[in-house]
Amino acid sequence: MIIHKSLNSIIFNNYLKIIFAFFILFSETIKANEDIIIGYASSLHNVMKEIIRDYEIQSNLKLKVGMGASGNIAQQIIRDAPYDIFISANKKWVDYLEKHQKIKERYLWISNSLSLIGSIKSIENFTLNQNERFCLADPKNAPLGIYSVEAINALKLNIPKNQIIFLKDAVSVRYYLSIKECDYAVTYSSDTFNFDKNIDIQSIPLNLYSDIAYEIGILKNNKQTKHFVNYLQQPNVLSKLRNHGFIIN
Amino acid sequence: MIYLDFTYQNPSLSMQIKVKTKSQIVFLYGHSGVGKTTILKMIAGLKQPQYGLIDIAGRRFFDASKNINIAPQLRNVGYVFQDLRLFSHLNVKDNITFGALKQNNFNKIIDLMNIHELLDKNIKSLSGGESQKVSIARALVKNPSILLIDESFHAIDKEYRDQLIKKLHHHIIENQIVTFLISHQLSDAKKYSAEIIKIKKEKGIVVAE
Amino acid sequence: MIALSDYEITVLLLSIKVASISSIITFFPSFIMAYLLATKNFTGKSLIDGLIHLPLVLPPVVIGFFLLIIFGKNGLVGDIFFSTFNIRISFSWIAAMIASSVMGFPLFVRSIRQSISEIDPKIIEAAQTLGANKIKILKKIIIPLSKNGIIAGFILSFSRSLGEFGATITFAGNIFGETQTLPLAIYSSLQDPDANLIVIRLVGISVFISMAALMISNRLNK
Repeated sequence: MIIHKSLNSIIFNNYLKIIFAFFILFSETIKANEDIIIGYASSLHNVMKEIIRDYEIQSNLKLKVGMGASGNIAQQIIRDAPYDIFISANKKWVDYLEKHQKIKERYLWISNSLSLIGSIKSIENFTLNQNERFCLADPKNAPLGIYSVEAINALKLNIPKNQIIFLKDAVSVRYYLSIKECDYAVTYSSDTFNFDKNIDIQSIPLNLYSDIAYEIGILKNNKQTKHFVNYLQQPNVLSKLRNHGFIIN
Repeated sequence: MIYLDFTYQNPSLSMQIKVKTKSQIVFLYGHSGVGKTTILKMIAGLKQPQYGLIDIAGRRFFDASKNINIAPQLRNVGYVFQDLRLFSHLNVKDNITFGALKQNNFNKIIDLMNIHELLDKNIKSLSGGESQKVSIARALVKNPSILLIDESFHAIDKEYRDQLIKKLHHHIIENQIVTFLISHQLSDAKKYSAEIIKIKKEKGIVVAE
Repeated sequence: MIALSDYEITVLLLSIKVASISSIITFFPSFIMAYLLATKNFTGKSLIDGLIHLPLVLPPVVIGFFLLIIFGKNGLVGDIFFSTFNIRISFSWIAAMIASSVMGFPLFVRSIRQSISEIDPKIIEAAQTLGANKIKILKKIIIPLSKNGIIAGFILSFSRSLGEFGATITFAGNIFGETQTLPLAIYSSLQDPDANLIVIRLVGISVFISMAALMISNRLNK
């Protein structure tokens, strides 16, 4: 009872403050409408965290982000997800959104390359042991999957179908590699830059798969989105991207 | 020989029972709620006294000083509960044969209780009197050496009741079944020369007289 | 009746296989656990009760993550399987089944426990005086009288398995013919802009099976 009483009196004595607090929370959400929401391919995850943090400090703007397989985000946009900027790991999903009149402007941005993970001595005589697994991103929704399948076919790697595991996206490939659920994998070179030193990494020649070009699609054309897209093209941002293993055109 | 000498205590009941008799049939009577049913449960093994012993027909069921406490299913007791406790998910026949071993007197008991036409019935469809008869039959089919009957005749027609008790008495004597009965019909007790034991409360303690 | 495609049949059969085997396997530990919780008092009971309910309250992805930690190649149990039998559990239909079982377990335990605790202890006393030991009481009294709870538990865990997504995709992946059950197939098709019709058909199949399971359970409960 004593607790009740004191709680009641706290609420009663401070109700103005409480209402004020609600008001601040509420106005926070109103203000949020002016923020920009960015959806980007999960292979950009690590570097985008840094870029966005820097940008927020510099511009005093709050950015909201959604990360996933490019196809996933594109599907969300078709279903009216409120993204303002979409950064895709391939051209196809930007084309798809353009066809549905969702894209106001598009820019080519940076490129990536592929690496083969796992101890492979010779590509010609490559065989998997019975219990080993080769992980790829799912070509159905992750562009990484499409490039990986092209590369695997061009390398003529002999992998039994039932030993291939298709994972959701680049982030999943990275995670399952880290817990050793995958013995081999193909993933973006940008994703291998802070891998464990014991893991064997070899890059796959660029001519064996389509260009991995990241495209920026602007979905809502306004001052904020323009400003951020400009920021993404600045030399210091590009050099950060290069450090993360991306290719700057 | 029946020898009960035990103390039982719980928050609502304090009991100190001493009964020693050579009679084969024991009538327990007294006010309702005085603790007669509790005594039957002690004999069946469903409740345990704190101190003392329970010894019936040469079998030591309970002896606190020697840590003896025979499990209820090993006491070979036939218990006709006041609230009957028939198994509603089984039919009459399956209820009656629930405790029966391969060697049993099913047919004899069905004749004795005269319940041939009930065998295939559902428990829920029985009348009060029929349920009591089924419950008595269930306790008898397993050839118990001790029979406990807790006011289980009141729903049976008066006319049929006397006849049934007579037949039951015959069966009990013939098979040498030690029987404890809770009943209000003292006239029956006298008729069948049973030991009558009054259960009453004295200074807050339940005792046998 | 619209004929099902080979793709749909594969997904459907796998879903039913995973759901039915996982509910059958879950039944035994669920029953034992429900029986203990309903009839016994022991130290740590509330802790165990809480642990059992974790899959109901935790995000399924978290459960999938725990399963990976336990059954993955580097996991406690997974390591034993890999080093002694050379078997990898994760990303196989066994993994999908384990994920389903774990998610269905609390539902199964809850419904059996409920019906066991509704059994009148007086009936059990009566059976004891009739010479029944614990096993006979279990077989003749407790199991028949908790039949409705057992059936409800089966249906609940079967349906939970048919709808299981998060734990399965994390622990078993989304492999066609091996771990791609109905919800995973629907998810995959949602990624494909040309697969709208497939999505609708798969959703239809899913609704149909769930309705059928509910109707069967209503029938059996009568």
